[in-house]
Amino acid sequence: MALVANPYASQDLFIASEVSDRMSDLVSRSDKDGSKPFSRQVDAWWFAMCIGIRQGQRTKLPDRTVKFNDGGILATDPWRITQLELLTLSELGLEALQTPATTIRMATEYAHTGFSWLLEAVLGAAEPNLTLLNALDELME
Amino acid sequence: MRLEHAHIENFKLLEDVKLDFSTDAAKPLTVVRAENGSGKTSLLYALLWAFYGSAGLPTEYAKFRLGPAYQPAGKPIDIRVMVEFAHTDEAGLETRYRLVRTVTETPTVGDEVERDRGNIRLLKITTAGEDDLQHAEALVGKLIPHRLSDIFFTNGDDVQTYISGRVSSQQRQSKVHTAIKMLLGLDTLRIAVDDIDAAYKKLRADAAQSGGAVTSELEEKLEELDQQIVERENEETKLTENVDNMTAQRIQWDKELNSLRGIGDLDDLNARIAQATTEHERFDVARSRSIARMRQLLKSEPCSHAFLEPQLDAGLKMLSELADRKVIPGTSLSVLDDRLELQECICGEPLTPGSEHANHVIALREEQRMASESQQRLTELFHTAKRAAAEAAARNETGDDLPGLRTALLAEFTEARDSQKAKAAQLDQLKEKRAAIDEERVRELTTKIASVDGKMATFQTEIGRIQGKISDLKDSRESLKQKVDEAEKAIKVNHELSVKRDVAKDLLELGSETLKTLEGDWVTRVSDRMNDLFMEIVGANPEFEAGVFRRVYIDDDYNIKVDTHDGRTLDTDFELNGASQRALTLSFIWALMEVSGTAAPRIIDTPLGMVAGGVKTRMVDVITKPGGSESPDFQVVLLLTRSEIRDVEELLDKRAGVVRTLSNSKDYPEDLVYDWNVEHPVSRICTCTHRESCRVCARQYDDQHGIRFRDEEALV
Repeated sequence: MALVANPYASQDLFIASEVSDRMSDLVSRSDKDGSKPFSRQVDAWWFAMCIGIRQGQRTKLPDRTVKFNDGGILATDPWRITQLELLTLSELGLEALQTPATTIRMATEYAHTGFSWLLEAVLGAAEPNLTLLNALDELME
Repeated sequence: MRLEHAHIENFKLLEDVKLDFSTDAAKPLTVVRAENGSGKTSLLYALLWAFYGSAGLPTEYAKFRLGPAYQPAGKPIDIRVMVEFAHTDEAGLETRYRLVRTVTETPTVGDEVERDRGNIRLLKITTAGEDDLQHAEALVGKLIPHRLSDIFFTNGDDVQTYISGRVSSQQRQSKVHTAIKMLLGLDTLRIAVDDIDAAYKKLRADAAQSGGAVTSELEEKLEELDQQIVERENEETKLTENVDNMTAQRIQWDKELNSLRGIGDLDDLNARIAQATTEHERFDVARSRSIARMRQLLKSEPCSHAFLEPQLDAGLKMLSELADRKVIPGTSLSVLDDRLELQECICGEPLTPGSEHANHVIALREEQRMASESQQRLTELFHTAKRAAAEAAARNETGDDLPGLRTALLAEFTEARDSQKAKAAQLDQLKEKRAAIDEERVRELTTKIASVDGKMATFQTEIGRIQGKISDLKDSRESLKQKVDEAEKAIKVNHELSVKRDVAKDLLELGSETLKTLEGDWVTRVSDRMNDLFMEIVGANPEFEAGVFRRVYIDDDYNIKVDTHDGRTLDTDFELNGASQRALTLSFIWALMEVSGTAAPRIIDTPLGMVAGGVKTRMVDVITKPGGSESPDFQVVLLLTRSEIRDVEELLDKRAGVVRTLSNSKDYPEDLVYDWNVEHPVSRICTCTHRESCRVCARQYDDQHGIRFRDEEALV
């Protein structure tokens, strides 16, 4: 199959500093460490974005932000690029496909909304994975 | 003496246990139903401790904790046992007492403990109130002598010590002899005989002195020989006592060793722990795998697709409209490249190079190449999105979508977690069991037993040597005595002194003979009664030649013997089965108490182990038969397991005035049906009879044995 082109490769991915400070509640690089739900920050970011979209709310990032990666990372899961473009079409319209920065800003703002829920959900959870999996029902309603 | 009530606090497994004893003369039996490990022995020892303090407990037992095993090191705990009892004196007057023994114990690191001096109070209960009595310990010792505690409080495993080789024959004889002497009151006569012996010796010396130098010198030599004999006999007694003490210590060590080993075979336990550990690890891996799959799911396309489905559908719809309007070409460049390379069209027809169909596809590709970059991008997106949508639809069909995967994962995780938890609990139990088998202690005990065996063999040799010496000395004495008598005849001794001496000698012989006769008479009576009871229990007819047992009896050396119809005397260790051994010992105890008229409670732990069928029924019948108006204080307390109770339920219905059930929380969930939700293992007592169970004591399979369930917590 042909490779999916990644128009977001040159876009920096940011999260709020306060979220970055608590990223260790969500992410553990070790695959063996099952106590954290994600092994990469981008996975947490994407999941947070999905939650934000589900909640239908974008939240602007505060002044203090941290770049955690660039859009090139999205190519590791090409389906994310496809989904991001379809999102752009449905949320921002055909023109927005020409400005990847607009798409990434949208995704970042949805993710910021989602991070609030996500961090709250895993706070003090003995089995964060299980907590999230159980909470999916509520999110999907 | 008659027990009325006991309240035990913090003694071993018994955190707060109250027990009423049957005081109904027509139903003298109290039954405590309890399974192994539920606290039967703790109950027995708690009562022993109340009456006799640490001295009443087995040596090793008293050294370790009296309080609960879970009590943390450094934290003191108050242990208290209260017993209310009534005592009828020789004049028939009854007095009620309350005995309270307390001690504060602080566990230290390891199994050692520190205890304060403790306290004992004996209160006389009168209608006017309670009087605190002085010298409580001595008074209790008088009411229920410690030396007879084996008779009053009998552990099922120890019950054979009167007859079996678990103790040396010497010690066995001594136990039987002591029991008879103490209960039959022959000690007073023994003291009188000793006094006469001393007077006789003094008169003999005086008479010899009065006869002049020859008799005096001979008498001195005789005295010297007597002295040597006494010294040797003392040496023998001392060595025998040492051997007895070593034997007693060895029995304790042996018992502890057996008990440690009896918890379970260590190798078997280690194998079970290894297996449980492997299974636990397997469940842990399954659980980790499940968690890892959860992580995969959370970052997966199906998860994201489920969240974003409305937006993705809307985007795809926009693309479809653009395609319908031919804004974007119908086929993507990459798809056309793929098809041409594969030489197969999307419709399935071959794209043979040079064919019309192939040329058409090449023309389409050229047309697509001519389109704008943005159109190409939209086309790629359209086709990729369509494929993704088709894959999502397929996942929905097969249940590989988010809800399906989520449900399966949750079920998988729950199963792994619950299995792991159950296995961890099993592993803890096994490890706890193994911890109880202190390997170091086993080694230590084995070494100690070997060492004490060596010492005992040396001592026995020394005893034999001394006995030989005593025999020689006695021969010399006999010959010297003849010389003295001859010399006394030849030389005139003081007449008055010689008369007194001869009278003393006659008295001594009379006293000794009387003592011997009385002992013999009592022993015969106990022996005969024991024989009757034993035959009744084992269902043997002594006249029936085809039967095994002809008679059981106590011989002149205080051995309990069993004769058979074929003229043999059975070895009670090896030729009597467990049931007969128990029957024989209980017959001895019952006979002894009947003949001596002793009215004291008999508390027996697991008396019916190894006993079944008719013997079991008859044994219970014999030992629980009401004493009648002559023995109002007759009381029996049996600590029985469910299997011991089986087949004697109807007898217990008739004879038991009180039945209680003692259970321990640690038996949940393997045996107990209900969880008590307690932090530490604890024993509790409920009012359930042998025919009932409740939310406290209900055990698996109770229903199969006709035990009626009462849906309540019938705690005392």
